[in-house]
Amino acid sequence: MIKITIDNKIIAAKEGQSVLSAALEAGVYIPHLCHHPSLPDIGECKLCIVEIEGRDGIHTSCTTPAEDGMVIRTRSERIDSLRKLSMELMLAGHPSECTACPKYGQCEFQSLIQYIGVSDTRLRKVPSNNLYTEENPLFVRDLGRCVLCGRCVRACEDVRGVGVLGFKTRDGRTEISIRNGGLLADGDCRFCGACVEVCPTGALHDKNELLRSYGTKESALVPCRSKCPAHTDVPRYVAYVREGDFSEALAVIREKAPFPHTLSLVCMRFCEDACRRGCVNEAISIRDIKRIAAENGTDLWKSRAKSSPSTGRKVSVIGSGPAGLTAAYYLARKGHTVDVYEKLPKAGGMLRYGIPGYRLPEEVFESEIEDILQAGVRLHVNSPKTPQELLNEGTDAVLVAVGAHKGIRLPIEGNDLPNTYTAVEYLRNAALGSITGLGDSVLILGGGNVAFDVAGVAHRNGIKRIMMACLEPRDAMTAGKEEIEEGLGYGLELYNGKTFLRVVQNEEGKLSVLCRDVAELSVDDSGRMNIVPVPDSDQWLTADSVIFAVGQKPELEGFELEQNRGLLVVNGHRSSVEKVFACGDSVTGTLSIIHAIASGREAASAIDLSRRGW
Amino acid sequence: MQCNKMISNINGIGFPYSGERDRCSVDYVFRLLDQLRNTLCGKGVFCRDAASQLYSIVGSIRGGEGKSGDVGLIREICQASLQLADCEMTREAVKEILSLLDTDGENWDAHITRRRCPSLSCESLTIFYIDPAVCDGCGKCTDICPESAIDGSPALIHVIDREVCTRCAACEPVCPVSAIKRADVAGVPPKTPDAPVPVGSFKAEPVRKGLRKGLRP
Ligand code: SF4
Ligand code: SF4
Ligand code: FES
Repeated sequence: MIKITIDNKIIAAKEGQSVLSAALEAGVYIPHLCHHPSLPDIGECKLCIVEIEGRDGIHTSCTTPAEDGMVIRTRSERIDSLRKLSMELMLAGHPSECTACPKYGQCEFQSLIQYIGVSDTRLRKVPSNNLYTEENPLFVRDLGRCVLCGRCVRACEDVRGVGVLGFKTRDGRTEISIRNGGLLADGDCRFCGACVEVCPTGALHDKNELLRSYGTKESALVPCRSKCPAHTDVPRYVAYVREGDFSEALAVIREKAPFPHTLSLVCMRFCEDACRRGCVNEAISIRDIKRIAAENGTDLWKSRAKSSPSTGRKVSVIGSGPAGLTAAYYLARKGHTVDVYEKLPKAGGMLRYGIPGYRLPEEVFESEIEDILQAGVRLHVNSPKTPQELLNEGTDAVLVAVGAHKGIRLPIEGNDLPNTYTAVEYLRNAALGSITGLGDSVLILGGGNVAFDVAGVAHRNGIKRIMMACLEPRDAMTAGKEEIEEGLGYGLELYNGKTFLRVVQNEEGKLSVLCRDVAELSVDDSGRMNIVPVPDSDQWLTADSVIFAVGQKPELEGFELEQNRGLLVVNGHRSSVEKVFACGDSVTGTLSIIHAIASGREAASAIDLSRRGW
Repeated sequence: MQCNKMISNINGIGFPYSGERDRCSVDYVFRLLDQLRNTLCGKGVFCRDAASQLYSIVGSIRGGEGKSGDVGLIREICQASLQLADCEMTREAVKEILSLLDTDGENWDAHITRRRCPSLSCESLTIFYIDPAVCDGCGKCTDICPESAIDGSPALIHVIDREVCTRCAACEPVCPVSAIKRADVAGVPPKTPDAPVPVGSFKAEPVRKGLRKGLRP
């Protein structure tokens, strides 16, 4: 161990460590600017200067390796005046006003000005080349505020190995230039953001609008992870896939979701919507990368998953959809005895009965369910249960994860005529193999992903004419872009901006829906929809059958739990009844598989944490 | 990190200063600093920012806008650079500046306190005029003047408009008969015609009479 003395204080240093790093680690502050813990030191700002006993002159502590027995002074008249002068020289080229700078209050340079106590009155102001630009994606470059510490250059060159940035002198003034001049993209910038991260001033900063909607800077900088409902560590598994380590990648995904392969086929990709790369060109294909991991990874995750010793507690889960099974899996890992009760003949919930097989083949989710059962979860199919029954049977906690399986019919005249169905009914029957005869043509009311699933199944079952009518204009439809395009690709007729008045049946048995054009659509604070119709725009759409794809509600008959607008009311996943928890679509309404999975995992941890009170 | 630039990297100007060639030490230092700030690598404070700061201070002295503390400031910055600049080029340059402050202090003082350039080198401190006794009306100066400050036609004595002239000195070397001359801003203005007149027609007072020290012969 090396010992050095700084300002009469003895501190320890590691072999090869610089005097500055050793000092900072020991809590002795030496001013510094060009030094950054993640970057190689170059000793150019001269703020970290010290005197060393027995050596001539002044030394930059960031580039001086600590040697045993060194005696160092960080302050003296000579050091103080040189340090001040260095600050004054840098400040001379920096704008005088700070308040308009986005780094105001968090700027290292500003702190140094105050700490060292300098102002820009003694020297001449030397204006720098004004190079403000917002033309690059993601970052603002405001090089008028640059103090030329060179950290960005080293981050790009030495840390990222890209080398886009460099020093350039133009008209007698030095500036940080981009390779090939021009914009970052022209210099082959990877938009990793390392340069922005290390810049001590307001010269490089993230575009404000990209940060605003996020709570913390970190969540803004890793939006894929923060916008994933389950907060899957996307950058980590993408990096593993890049290295070809699919098994590690898979283990990362499985930390948060026990259905990686399923998700890799049908997830709604909130991560990709948020991907910062989308501002540069297009989002990273995160879901496809996940698929590579899911299809090539081994069982390594099994050895990674921690299993706690048995708690002797019994948890019963009602519903075997993604929410219920996810909760069951993590609860089993936590050492609880878990029983899952499924009303239908097979497990999977909406994975099986809601998502058409052409999008999600049965084998995919079945093998993932098998993994969950192997973790010790017991499954009981054809077993409708209520929470009360299970509590009476002696379970310690019940988790309601029944999903939202009851299709809603619009409250209009004729909504129960023969040949009218809900999307849930139709999709479930299709999954069970009992195809509902729709005739030659079908009219789907609704424009979400479920509506497109219905259309897709109808198309694959040979229905000739498929029409879809919905309230929203084309660009406000909730369905994914790809789904819409696929539908239009096979000849789906799409009618946007329609409100529906009634359904009537004509003599031949065909159904006609009276529609009216929507002029204006708004949602008020209480969630009520206000529709302003276009006068005299009534028209009829006619088909052999009509399918309502306008939303789903949970089936909660006999559950005796507090509800609001047909959904369960919970507080931190606790329902209105003690020991009864709830999660998934039955609480949130239909959202997405990954939302259900996230909710299941959270509920599992709520139940696990509450066990102290049992 | 050490930068390995040498003083020999500066090649737009002779080094070191020579009184014979460079005449005014202020003007020389200004040009030296301009070379320096355009040659350095730009990484270190005591090269980059020191050179720009010195360039700015010396520039104002050379323009007759020096302040009383300027020499002290220049010394302070040069001494700091001598200790902390990373390249030999900067250290040699500041060493030369320090030595010129010592050996030619009077010249610097003349610039700062009297706003005069005794050797008539610093353009802002001199007046350019066309000696009416020498000009043969060739018009080469009119062609080159970027500000169109010179009035005249063939066979007329050309005249520089002192209000418009920026003292860039572009005309000086093109005159085949060396009629373009400099005078001290602070001195008695040389007699010249108000507007172009035919060559040979201008009757000036005897040129030497009443002129003060500082005029070029
Ligand atoms: S964002 Fe671009 S310029 Fe900045 S460090 Fe990364 S690659 Fe280099
Ligand atoms: S842009 Fe920032 S990091 Fe780069 S040199 Fe300027 S102040 Fe330093
Ligand atoms: S921190 Fe050591 S010279 Fe900048």
